[in-house]
Amino acid sequence: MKRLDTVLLGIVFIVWSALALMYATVPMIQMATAFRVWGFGAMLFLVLAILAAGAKRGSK
Amino acid sequence: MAEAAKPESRHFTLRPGFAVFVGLFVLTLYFLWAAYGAAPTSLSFLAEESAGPAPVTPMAGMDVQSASVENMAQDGGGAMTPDEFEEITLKFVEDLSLPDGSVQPTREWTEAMEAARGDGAQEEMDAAGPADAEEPIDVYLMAMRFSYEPRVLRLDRNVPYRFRMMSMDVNHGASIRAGFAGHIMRRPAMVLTEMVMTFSERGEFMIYCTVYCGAGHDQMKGKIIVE
Amino acid sequence: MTKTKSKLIAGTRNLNPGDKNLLLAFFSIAVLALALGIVFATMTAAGRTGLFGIESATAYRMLGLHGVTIFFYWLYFVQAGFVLLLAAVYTEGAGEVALRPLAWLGFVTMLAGMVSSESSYFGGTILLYDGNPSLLIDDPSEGRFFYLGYVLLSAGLAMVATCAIATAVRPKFRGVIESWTPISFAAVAWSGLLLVAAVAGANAFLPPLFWTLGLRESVAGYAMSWSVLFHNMHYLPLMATVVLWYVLMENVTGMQSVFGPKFSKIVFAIYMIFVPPTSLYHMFLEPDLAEAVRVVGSLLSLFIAVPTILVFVVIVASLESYARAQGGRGLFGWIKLLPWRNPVMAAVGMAAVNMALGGVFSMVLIQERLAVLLSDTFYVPGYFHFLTVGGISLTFIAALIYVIPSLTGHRCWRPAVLARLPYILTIGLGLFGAGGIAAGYHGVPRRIFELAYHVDDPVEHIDAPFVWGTMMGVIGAGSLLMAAVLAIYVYALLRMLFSQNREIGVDVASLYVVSWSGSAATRERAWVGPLSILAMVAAMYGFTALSFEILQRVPILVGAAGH
Repeated sequence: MKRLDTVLLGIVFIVWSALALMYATVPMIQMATAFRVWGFGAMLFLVLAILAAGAKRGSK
Repeated sequence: MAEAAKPESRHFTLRPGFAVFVGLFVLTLYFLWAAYGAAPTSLSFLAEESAGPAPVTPMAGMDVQSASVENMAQDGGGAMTPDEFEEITLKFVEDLSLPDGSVQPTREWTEAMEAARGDGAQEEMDAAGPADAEEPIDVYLMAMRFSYEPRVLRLDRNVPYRFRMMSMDVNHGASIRAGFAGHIMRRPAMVLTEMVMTFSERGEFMIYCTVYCGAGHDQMKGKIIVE
Repeated sequence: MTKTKSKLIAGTRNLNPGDKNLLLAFFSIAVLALALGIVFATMTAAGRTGLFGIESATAYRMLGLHGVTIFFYWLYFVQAGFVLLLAAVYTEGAGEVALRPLAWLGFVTMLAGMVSSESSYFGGTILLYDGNPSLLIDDPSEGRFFYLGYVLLSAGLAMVATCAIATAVRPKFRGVIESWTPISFAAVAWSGLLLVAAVAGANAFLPPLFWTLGLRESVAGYAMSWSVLFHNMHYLPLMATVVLWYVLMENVTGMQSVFGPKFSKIVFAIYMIFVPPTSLYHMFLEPDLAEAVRVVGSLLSLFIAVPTILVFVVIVASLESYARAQGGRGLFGWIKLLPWRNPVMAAVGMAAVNMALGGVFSMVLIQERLAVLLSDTFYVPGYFHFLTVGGISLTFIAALIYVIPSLTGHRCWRPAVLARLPYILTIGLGLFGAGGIAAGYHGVPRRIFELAYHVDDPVEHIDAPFVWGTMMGVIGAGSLLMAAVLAIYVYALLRMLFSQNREIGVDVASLYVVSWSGSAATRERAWVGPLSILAMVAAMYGFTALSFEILQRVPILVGAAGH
């Protein structure tokens, strides 16, 4: 279950990163400004995934 | 958690896979869209000219082909500054006003203006249309807080009109109440938009603003009389 | 059975006084915002239906205040309170809110934002809640306090969300827990999305704020920046709602998901994943959006309902499974075993119905070809009030009925009355929604107060269809009924917040519940959830087809093109 928390938050990071990259590089979508928002979101969920993995060993 | 029944002993309606199946069931709406021609049945649309205009679904009294050439003209030969647009719209009103104040666009006026402009870009655009299509007649419609200019248009039935529209100050709508429903259109500020429409039924159609534009928003109304 | 083993009530009661005060601050302002929002809504409805004369400028100000107060401040204050509460109560070993001073700073910042936004309307701003800066071309300074309010709200929200994440993460780092419960996982994800919304808010509102202060020349790309935030604002309260359904159903029945905690977490993660890619439908009426983007946008938007449907199926199937273990029989007979006398149960039950209705009509609007028929018409408020009032706000109110008395120690005001309100609210919503949706199909614009469009000149004059006025009457009746019910709810919540009178009402822990914990009939069928979805999808088919038919078969649609 500990791993699941990390995996799920990590998946959010991956999907949002890909979308943010697309917003930044495909002008046709007209969502260039959305790159900042979802790029930040992707980084945030990366941090959350790392935090979720940060439980001390030996915890219950 | 709930008593852990082994997956094989569970009723299938209580399995995660079934819940996901039910969740995804809503995606079948796609087939209905496709049946109405509103969703692609192949990926070919991705290969089409992606920067092109969006087709506008045909509405009451509007010709299906001509209604589908809504076009943003700011990048092409039809580009026009707000000052230029205002000037030509006022000329349009002055030249074509009838005694009752309504404005009746004519083919002669359109051709005269095109000749005066030497409008190569316009010819190019026209050439792209169906070969047998009747040449549209220009209509100028200016939206501003809180009115349209001209306020009343007098058009002929089954004749294509190329509406050239611009919002002069803030974003406006130029929606048309046609028959049972409304044909909703947004018109961004300072941008020339074009749309060819053919009204196939006589009647009076209301033009109204559907984009909030300030305290007088609900006074913005115009009229199209189709004879 | 009448005594609850509610984790929500017990956990809330066990919070330390400092945390209780913090949460009460958030919930008090949320209730205040709800009350103000209802007043502004009533004024808007009165103006719209011509109930009493109200000049356009004032009516638009009321509409703007209604949107700002409800869509921003009610929904964000109540979310801030619940995300902190769930993180503290449902994260094992948390016990208290982390970084409480930061949370207080967030509260004060959000409150300052609310005062700033609301006061801007008394300074004469003509903006609606979406803050379109191009409306300020004559005098940008009119919008200063409006945007400042939203910026402060975003900043405060970021602080609160940070505290909620810290609350959930801290026990992990202390080695108290290894993994989160599904609810604390959801609270973390929800907080993450709140932080993203705060950034989206700053991204959207800082440029116009600087412009109104004279610090920059112009504002570019506002429509897109707004739409990114706006889309988040759709998802956030929706996710909060389904998380609270989980929590509240567990508390009134004792049930837990029969699909297991892992699946619950996966569903909450799916919510996150689907947020950004489903956003394009907000732009369908923009004339310069490429065709391929429209088509792909429509296709992706189909996924918007998937996570909510999944949660619905999980909860209903779990309830059915537990009820069958208690002897519930028949396809629908088990539903009678649910504790409907409990006001929380009644509210959540009707919230699910209203969400389904809102879901049906929202799925019509995601088809890009139908935007030309329905976008910017009264169809939009017609459908979204099912979601925002009937689904989301009703769920938050239900949760407050449990939580506020648990925080204050006061009694729950007249539960028998409260248990009936959801049904009356749904009738009001039904009138409002039916009138609004029918009006939308007829082309009635939203945000119009003078529907007659009267012009003296006989050539210029054209009558708006008579039926428009009739539909406005139905909408007005529905609005007033909704407002009356919500006003009773507000009164009840205020009593629970401030009244120490022990004569009226009951101890919240004594509200009627059933206790089904520990037993679920997982070998028996659970069809009601899937059948409900089937009915919902069938309705989506029906209304989508109806919309296409209206689009294609308008009576005057007789032309050379042969259509």
